[in-house]
Amino acid sequence: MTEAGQSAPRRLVSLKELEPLIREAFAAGKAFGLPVTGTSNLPTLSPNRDSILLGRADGPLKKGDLPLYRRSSGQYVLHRVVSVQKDGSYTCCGDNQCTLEPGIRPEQIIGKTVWIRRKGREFSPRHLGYRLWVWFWVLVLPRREALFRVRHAAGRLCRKLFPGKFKDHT
Amino acid sequence: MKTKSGFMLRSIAGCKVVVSVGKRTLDFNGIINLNDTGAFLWERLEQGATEDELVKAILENYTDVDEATARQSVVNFVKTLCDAGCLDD
Repeated sequence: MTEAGQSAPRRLVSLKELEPLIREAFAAGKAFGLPVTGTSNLPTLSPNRDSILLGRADGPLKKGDLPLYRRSSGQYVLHRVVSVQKDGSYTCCGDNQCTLEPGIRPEQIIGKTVWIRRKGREFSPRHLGYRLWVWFWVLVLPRREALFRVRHAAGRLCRKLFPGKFKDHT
Repeated sequence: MKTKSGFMLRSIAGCKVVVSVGKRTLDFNGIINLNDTGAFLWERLEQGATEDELVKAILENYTDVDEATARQSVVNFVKTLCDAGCLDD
């Protein structure tokens, strides 16, 4: 017998492996909990801190929705819809990114974020504060690169002025 | 003792994993990998087994273990799950 309290060998579970379970949960009318991985949705969602519930995307997505989709390359991505095209496809972009990804078709969508746990607080994507943040962050998308540069410069300055007080992310 | 509703034990590529499928379990930020014994105990905890019942189930199913080892294993496992917020109070 293997010691039950001893964890199984650590292995990363890919979203490809999880997709059937996600669909099983949707078929049972449930949402699927996913930890946030990667930094592409900072500052909204942080890896190893935040998590989301993924629900079935009933009907077309709207601007501001945060879906999980599968790229043609097979890669799974959680990026925000920043515009909906007339042909029904979506243009997506991570909150920590400036490069748009156009041409995401509805059949590539696995599900969309229906519940968020951020810094230990839980809320629906319909929460007013969250919606205002999303509205603002999508609005400033064309200026995001400049904002990132300002943030980077401010961080550098703070680290110089108060060494040891701020984390160095570089 | 019972596992919280909102967890699902499944097999992925031969490995047992527990995933979260509800708001109640969202504070568990991750996916649990279980070994075979862990999965065996989890299945019983889903039915609301007591510590004694878990120990008995191990002794009935595994011949290479004595009661003290089985009990220690159960205690460790239950503590790990409690710490991770997987069990109902």
